[in-house]
Amino acid sequence: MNIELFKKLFEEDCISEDSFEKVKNMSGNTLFSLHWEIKTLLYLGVMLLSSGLGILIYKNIDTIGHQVILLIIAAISAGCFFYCFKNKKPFSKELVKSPNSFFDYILLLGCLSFLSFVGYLQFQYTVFGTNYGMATFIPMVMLFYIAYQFDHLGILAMGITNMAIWMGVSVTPKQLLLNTDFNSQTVILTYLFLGLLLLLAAHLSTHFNFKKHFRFTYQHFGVHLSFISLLAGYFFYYESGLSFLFIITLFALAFYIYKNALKHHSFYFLLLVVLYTYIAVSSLVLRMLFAMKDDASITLSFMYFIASAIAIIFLLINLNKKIKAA
Amino acid sequence: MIIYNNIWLANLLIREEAQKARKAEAISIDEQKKIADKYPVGFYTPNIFIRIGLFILTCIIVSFSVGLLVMMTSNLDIIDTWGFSLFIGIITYIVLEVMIKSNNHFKSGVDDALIWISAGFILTAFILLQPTINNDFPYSRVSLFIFLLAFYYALRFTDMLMTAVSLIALIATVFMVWKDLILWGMLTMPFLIMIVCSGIYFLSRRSVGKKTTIYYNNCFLVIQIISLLILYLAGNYYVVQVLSPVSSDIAKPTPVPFGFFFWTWTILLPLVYIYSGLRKKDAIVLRTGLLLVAAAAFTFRNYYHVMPIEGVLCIAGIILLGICYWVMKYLKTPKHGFTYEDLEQDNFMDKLKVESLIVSETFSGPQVPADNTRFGGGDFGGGGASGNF
Repeated sequence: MNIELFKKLFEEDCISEDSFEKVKNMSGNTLFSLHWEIKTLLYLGVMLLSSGLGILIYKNIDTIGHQVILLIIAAISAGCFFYCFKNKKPFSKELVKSPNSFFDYILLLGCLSFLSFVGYLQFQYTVFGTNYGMATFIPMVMLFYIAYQFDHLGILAMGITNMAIWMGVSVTPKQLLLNTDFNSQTVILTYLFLGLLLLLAAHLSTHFNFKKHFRFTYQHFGVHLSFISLLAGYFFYYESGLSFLFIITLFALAFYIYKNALKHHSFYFLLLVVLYTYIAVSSLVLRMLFAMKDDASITLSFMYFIASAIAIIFLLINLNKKIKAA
Repeated sequence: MIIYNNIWLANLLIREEAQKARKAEAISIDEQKKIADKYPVGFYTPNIFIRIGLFILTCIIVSFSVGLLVMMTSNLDIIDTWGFSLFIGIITYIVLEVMIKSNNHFKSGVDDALIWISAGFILTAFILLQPTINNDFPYSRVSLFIFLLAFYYALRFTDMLMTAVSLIALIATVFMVWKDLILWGMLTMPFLIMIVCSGIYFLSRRSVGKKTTIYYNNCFLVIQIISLLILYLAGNYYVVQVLSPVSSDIAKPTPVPFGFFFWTWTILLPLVYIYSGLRKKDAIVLRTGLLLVAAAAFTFRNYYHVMPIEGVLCIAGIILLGICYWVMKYLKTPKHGFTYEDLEQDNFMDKLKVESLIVSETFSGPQVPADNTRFGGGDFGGGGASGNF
């Protein structure tokens, strides 16, 4: 820390003598933190190890015995979980800080190898038969359980992705795996349902004060999924009157997220709401302009974008002030 | 030279120091408030997300304005003339200056967008000015121009990315000029670039914290990172070989003269970085070194296939986990001024919970085998629903 500066501040009577002494003491022995370096290396280590194992299985699937491979994966997974259960802190509804970063990543490694284990079982022995729903449901439940038990946000996010796959698989197994686009009615509705479900989960987490800090992750996925599927639904039913139902739902949802973002002082969700709503409004305006079938409609739409973007800039600036003041 | 209000910039630095002191619990919140009152900052600097939003919206405004202009003059056929680009570039630059001077925007997204748009248009004008008939494009001239342009922007707006661009363009200029100027240019190139980079690195290290350049501290950090990286790349065996004039045929690479020197450079320099980073407690050198270990490993594997890739991945993963475990055990109580604890409790990354999102992006989804594809364990990506963030 800059001693000269704090000396000046002290002389100007901005800080007390006590504080000045503290600053002086502190600048002598600053610690150098290796926290982020270690974390990055741990992440890399887990990533390398799990992908290395994956390739190992893939290449040797025909040569070494299946039981051996299964055993190795199961052993790694079990070893990781054993370590985690031994070192874990007691469960609580509040935020539980993990013992250290190593613990977090070993847990992640355990989950990844567990997923490989289930996937391998299914591929080689088709334990779940052709019931792909079941093959994804079990890992999902497991991931959610681990996320709550050990308070791990990364695994919660993995669980949510898994849930999306599980729901997709139950509806249209092949289509989802082959092309994950938003061009079919069932997919749109499924994802819309999932998005709203996640938003509900976010709401319930705070409402019942049960793992309140999970709200962000739920809401992050929920907001993106529901807005994207609402927009996709709007364009899918563009010709029919049903499209307006989607747009109205979108505005209602936007209002809810807006209120929520203000309540939690979240700039991130505020920006998302503004941008997604802007897309929706713009598509409505363009639709109106082009419905006029006039030569001027292109010029008008250009002007619309310039004017509206300026308006949104002022809106964002004002909202920024509003959150800061709140 | 700097467009921003210098007193406010100075006050901003004071506030940052106060913020650090408050986080370390040396001064109280009241004292921090007192300092903030005494040293006002009138800049408009919104939250990072609002900044992103403003950036996008400014791009929308400019692109539609240009589109409107093009439509109005569509029968004049001026779009692909250099004058048009220059005109737009100058107009956006003027808007940028006015926005900053009158509305006190400071890293608000609006100014970021306008910096890049105006620089881009001016550069386009310069490129369009070059004769296009012959096929030897004047790279050295263009890169010199990029360097000068970006250098001006970096000086005027203390922009970190512009600093990076200007440094890279400078090195590129040196490269091109030396290549054409000297007969043995390509053979001596690695040494020249090494000298230039280390010179720049030491110059920027000495300039950090000096009174005259205090507002450019962040720019100096960028310069240090990039010059360290290029310094390594200049001597990296693979890079040297690809650029070497002896092996004009990439498919059949020939050994490089002084190969031993370059191999030593490739393998040892990252370790030297890490060592000196730890010794001097310099996070930049340390992190660059860690990054370059990966580059060294890739280079080595490119030439010597000691074992199959999956073995390397597994072993490297286990070694990394082992090292981390050992370091964390070792630093349970801080030793030699190092600690494992996170000193900045509430930094930006934690607030966004970036870590959890990265985990879900890279490891998403179980390996559900489709009907007739082989089970490909551990492949990343997939899980299309993971959401784009």
